[in-house]
Amino acid sequence: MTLEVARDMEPDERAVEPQTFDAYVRERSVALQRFAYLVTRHPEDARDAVQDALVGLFPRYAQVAAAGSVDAYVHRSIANAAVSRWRKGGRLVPVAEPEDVRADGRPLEEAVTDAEVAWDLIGELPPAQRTAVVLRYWSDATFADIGAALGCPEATARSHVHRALARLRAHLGEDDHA
Amino acid sequence: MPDHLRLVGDARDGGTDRAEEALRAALASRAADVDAAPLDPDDLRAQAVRPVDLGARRRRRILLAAAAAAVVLVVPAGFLLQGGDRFSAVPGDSSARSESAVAAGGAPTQDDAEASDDAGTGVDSADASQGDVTASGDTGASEPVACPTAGPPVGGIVDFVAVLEWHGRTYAWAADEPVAGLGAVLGEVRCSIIEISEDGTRTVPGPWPDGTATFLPVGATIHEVPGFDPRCAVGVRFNDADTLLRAMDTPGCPSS
Repeated sequence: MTLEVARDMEPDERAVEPQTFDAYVRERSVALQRFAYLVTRHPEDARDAVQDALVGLFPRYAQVAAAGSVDAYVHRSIANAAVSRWRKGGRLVPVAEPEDVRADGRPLEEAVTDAEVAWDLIGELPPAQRTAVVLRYWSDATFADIGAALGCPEATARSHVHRALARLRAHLGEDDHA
Repeated sequence: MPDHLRLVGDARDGGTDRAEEALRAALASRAADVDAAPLDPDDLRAQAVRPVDLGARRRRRILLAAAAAAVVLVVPAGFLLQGGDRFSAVPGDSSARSESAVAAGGAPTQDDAEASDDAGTGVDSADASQGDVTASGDTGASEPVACPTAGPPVGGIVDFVAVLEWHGRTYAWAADEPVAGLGAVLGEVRCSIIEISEDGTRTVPGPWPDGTATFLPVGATIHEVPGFDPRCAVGVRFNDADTLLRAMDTPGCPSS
């Protein structure tokens, strides 16, 4: 049950590129905003990043679609926007932990779920690594796709994900011993 | 606690990786919480074509690139001119085409008159580069064009303004102007900046030869537009729509 929730909302239908820019926007803009939120962790930044990416996409949609890489192109734009914001913002990571999640009277350590630990960890990752994790575990992207989206070799994409996983495993392992 | 935040530790002793499941659960739950509305393609399109109202810095950058191209092209043009009739040596010469285009376009427009008036002024410098440019960069020419090469990666996406280099001029996308069909084919795109720049991940230093477009693929046809002097405006087919491109900063032509 835990993992199936919201998976039906994952609209990563990459088999066929929409024929037109309009169709792509209609089909994918909501999913792209969700993706951007997971990467930027800020709703307004996410919307801005998606808008900017799509505005940049419009004049070159035909070529990008012909190459079958529209999502990769947009993901890359969003990731770049996140990196830029990260650099400009002094690498501050917003803390998005809702207060009420842990306000149920239970001891803190019991209330903290693996998912919450994972969400906190994702927020601490550098943008490229975070984007790789989001693409891998939300979009179910292959490492090759992640590499294409990040503009890096597949091995680098694999490294991003594995490093994040190792870090999370260490966190969860610490929790186990707590 | 919501279902999507339930512990996934049940899997820790099974075959599924606990950390991976935690990541999937965290991302799925947060994504589901995002209150996102579909974006309007028309709004995005309007923003995409906003570069037509170029800021001073962008405008200056484009003009500098065009000027650099003109300088590079004028020099070999001089050698060609010394060799004889530059027009007769060039099939489908741009000047002749411009005149025929005006005739084919029916009633002369104000653009036509103004462009003609300016033929001896600012337009001349551009015309001077047209002869040789046409020889190498025109539609039917089989010779390869020396397209610009990409610079190093920029670590981001370069947002190229939607322009076409043609006949020594820079034509910019005039999206708000409807086009009632396209006329005769004038030529085709020979160099695509978006392709050369690898989808905008690299800069493409000038000069950009005639037939270079930032947003069109190689082979895209460039057309006359009925009612417009091709010195002032040309048309292209893009994204299933006829699109007008206006010459920038060309005396006698309405400003783009």
